[in-house]
Amino acid sequence: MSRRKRILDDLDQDIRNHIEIETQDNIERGMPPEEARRAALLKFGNVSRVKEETREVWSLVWLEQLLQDIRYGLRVLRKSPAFTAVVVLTLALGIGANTAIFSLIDAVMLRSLPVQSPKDLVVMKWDARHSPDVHGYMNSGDCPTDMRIGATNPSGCSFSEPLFREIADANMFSGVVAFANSGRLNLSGNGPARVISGQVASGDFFRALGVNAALGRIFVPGDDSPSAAPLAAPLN
Amino acid sequence: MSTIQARQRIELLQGTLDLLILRTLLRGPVHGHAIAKAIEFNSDDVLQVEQGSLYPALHRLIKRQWISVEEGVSENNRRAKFYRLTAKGRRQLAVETSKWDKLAGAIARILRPAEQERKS
Repeated sequence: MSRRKRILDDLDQDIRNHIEIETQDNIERGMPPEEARRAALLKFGNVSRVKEETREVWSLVWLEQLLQDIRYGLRVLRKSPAFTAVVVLTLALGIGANTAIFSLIDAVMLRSLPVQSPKDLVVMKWDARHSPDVHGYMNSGDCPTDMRIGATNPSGCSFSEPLFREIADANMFSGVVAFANSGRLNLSGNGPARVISGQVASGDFFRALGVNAALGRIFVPGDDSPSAAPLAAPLN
Repeated sequence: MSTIQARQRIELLQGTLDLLILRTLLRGPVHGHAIAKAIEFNSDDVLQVEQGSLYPALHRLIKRQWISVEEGVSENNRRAKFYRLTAKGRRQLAVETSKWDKLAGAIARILRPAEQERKS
């Protein structure tokens, strides 16, 4: 690119110089200066067309050089097939792994949840510097981390039911729901019974998330009391 | 120039100008105007190069690295570009010259078969 620019930069000067010498020659042959210059220009031809054609010579140089480089690269790679195979395999595995991980993250974390306003949802957990100092039964909620007496930094812990009721009654949020893994459940009805994994959720769960039942009605507060009637609600 | 003179002048074939430039530069580096003059003079004014067409040709040759450019001072005391034949250009000149001889010979044999037979 720089070579091209350097060479073309002086083209104007070169052409001016050329016409001047021709003019001078004509004058020395006895032409009056005016006519000498006109004759020189006539002999040179169309100046702007010449400039244009000269620039065109260089216009695709970068592309030609790129193709040359590509051809050279391919030739070198063909000379050492083992190296080429290792490189291609490494790249393929790297790209493949990245794609797989991204697809997973995309599905699990980036795709918005199928609820009314996903961006307003928050998950509440509690952390502490030390595990609560309790004897026997402890009802602070479960922690995925170490909860033995005196352990430090319990984190990501869930709330116990009394604490959940406190938060729900405080009216800080438009809706507060609780859920917990129920483990395996037995689903029976028409046809053979099946084992499914389920969640235990508070009665307000679907209403707070803004999800409606496809058939019948969703759970409402009160359905989670011991006296409530059994209810099934398919969601989609 | 008179019309008769103009008619006797010959348009250059495509690519021939490159060959003529290379041949002219064989005697040493010169600037653009001098190349045009040399071609006219050495062909007894039969080959009349439209002087401007010299420049795209020169740049084609630079791009192929058959000639190189250097700074110099022209006879009117101006900074000017001097064109010099490279080693690659010298080899190319030999190739192009032998190609031209073959072409000229072949065309001559087609146009004047009788003369060729008489000679041989």
